[in-house]
Amino acid sequence: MLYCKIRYFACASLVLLCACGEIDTYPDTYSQRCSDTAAIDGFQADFGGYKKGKRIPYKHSDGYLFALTVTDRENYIDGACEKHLVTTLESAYPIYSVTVSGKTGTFYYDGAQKNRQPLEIEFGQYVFTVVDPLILKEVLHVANVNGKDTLLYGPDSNYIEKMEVNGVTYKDVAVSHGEKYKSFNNKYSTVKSDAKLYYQTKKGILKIELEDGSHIAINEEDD
Amino acid sequence: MKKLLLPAVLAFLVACGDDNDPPEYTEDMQSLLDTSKDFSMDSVIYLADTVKFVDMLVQEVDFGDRDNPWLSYSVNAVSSAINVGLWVTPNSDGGFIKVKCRPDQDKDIVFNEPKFPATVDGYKLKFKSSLKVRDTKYHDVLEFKATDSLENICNIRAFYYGVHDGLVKVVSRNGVELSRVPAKVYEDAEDRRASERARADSLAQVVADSIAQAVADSVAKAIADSIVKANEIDSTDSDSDELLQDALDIAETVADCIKKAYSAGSLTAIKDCKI
Repeated sequence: MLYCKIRYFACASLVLLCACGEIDTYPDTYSQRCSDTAAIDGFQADFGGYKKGKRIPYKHSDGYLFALTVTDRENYIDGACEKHLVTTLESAYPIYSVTVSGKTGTFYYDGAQKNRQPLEIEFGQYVFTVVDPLILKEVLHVANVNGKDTLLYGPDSNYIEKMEVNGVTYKDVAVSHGEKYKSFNNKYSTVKSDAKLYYQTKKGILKIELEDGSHIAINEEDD
Repeated sequence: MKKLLLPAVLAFLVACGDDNDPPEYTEDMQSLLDTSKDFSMDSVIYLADTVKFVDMLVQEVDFGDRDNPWLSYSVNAVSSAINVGLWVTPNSDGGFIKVKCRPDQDKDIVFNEPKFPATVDGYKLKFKSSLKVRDTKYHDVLEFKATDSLENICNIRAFYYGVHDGLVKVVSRNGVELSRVPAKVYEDAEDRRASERARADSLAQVVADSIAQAVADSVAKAIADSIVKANEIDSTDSDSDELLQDALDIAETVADCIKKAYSAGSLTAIKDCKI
């Protein structure tokens, strides 16, 4: 009798193991296929023309002249087949660090969409979402500002036809209204802030206005 | 055999029970853990250089509890990339101190023999009984220096952690010192920037107004001249004097209208000036 019970449990265990083993029997067509290359094209890659070692002159509103240097630029594909391009710019003093992060999927890729992917830019505790200025130009909408119907380009970002920064005029500019990390332990929680980032696809970051009234701005006039 | 097995199992359990042993730490580590009453758990501090730059930082600290003390300290600047952390962890092996010296640091700096001065890969920790920063003397200060490391992964050269006060000084990679300052320095800088911006805006407005006035004067003058010229007649005729006066009056009225319309910023109103 005992021998029969042992055999019964042994068979039941085998059936269970076989059932669990079916997880591995999905056909190949369901598996995720990553791109052969981690490279990203379009707005995210073109932004600022940033290449490792490039130095860009800036001026602080309190008079400091300094350069942001591209210290790192990394392309990689993560486990979910998403492509990343992360660029870091740093200055020795003032002690600044800017992280420009681009992310895109592997499969959607086509000519129209490659310029529609936004970038995320972190500067200190501020974070900005940055969209191609020419895309912003296309998405005009009407909003009531001070009782008048006004054409705007988006709730958090606006297209600017041209702006002057330290004596140089830049065309097809945009401004992104930033957010700020709410708790430094929980970096994913953000609140609205008065910080603004002005940018252009060709030159990248033109100007960052901070909540304390200071700003940094590209300084190509003396370059 | 059974008599031998039971003591062996007990000996094994005792040997594996290290996790329950009380933590051991050096006197140096103890000095970093005894200051929990001095800190407000989350507080704002300010660092400034000797020129104009000043930044706000938020520091967070946790000292564990009486039975299981440790130190977890981190401080983040709002606009600059000053991001310093200090973790003091006692354990039965003597404990360790971990240092963070930049945002997104991907490599740990760990001092496994926390007796000061301590050195690892050229990074140094040194304990100072006091340190004068500007006009304030801070007691019990831990100095972290990266100057002798072969590959400095920090974005700073050194920082100074006051065990009663938190971060009191940072030295940039090119040697600029940022020192602890009272909140008033930051508030004064905000006020100064606001007044500088108001002055710049006011100046820009004056320039814009004067340009607009000059343009309006010029347009009005040109139109007045053209009206007078169009009505120009022989000045010997007595009737013509009246006509000329009428023309001048009209020109003056039109010029005033244009000036007002331009000053109001309404280009469409100029059309209503009966030119």
